[in-house]
Amino acid sequence: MDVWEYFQTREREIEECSLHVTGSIPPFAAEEGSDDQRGMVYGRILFNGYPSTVYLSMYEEVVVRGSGITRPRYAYFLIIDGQEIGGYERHASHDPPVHRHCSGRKRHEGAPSRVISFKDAAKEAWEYVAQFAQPITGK
Amino acid sequence: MQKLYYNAESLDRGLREFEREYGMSTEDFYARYTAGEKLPIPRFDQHSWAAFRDAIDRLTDGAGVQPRPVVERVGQALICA
Repeated sequence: MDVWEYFQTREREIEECSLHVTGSIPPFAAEEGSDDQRGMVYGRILFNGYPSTVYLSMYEEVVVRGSGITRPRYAYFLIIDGQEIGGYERHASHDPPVHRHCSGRKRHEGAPSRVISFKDAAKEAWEYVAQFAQPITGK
Repeated sequence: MQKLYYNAESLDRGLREFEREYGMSTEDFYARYTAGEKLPIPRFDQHSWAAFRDAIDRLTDGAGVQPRPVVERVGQALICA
């Protein structure tokens, strides 16, 4: 098992969630000198059918542990037209380590959360996108 | 899939981008971030900025990235190419 296997799975999940990666540089990278056992996902993931102003900012730190992968640190945040709508974070230095931010009433308030998968974060983000974002319309 | 790699130096370039974007040194940002101060910076960027800084700390055993003369950096780039 190495991070490239994980990245391939994540790449597939991005497609399955009707999302796509923006730009020419892929968001996946392994850490030099780690023997491909540690890596990072960092970038903007766009929603199919929506303009580039609507995206999911994604950060994952990934580490191979035995035959699996852990995400000791992650952040998934939905951005619509320059506004950070909300997101999920995990990091040991935070209290609580796993939490969410919702800017519906108050900016950046944090609340405890379960550990969330990328697919669940994407699914929830889609609910907000479908409700609040303006899709690309044909002429 | 194209195989890309990062190291302390490439992450350090990320820190410089955040510093330019938000007009604050990484040391200042990190002290305020870890103190739980409310900062006028999008939450995702705060998370990433702190994560890059922590990764550099881990990769360099706390020494940070030491600036190198441009001639040396160019020389290494040429060798790597």
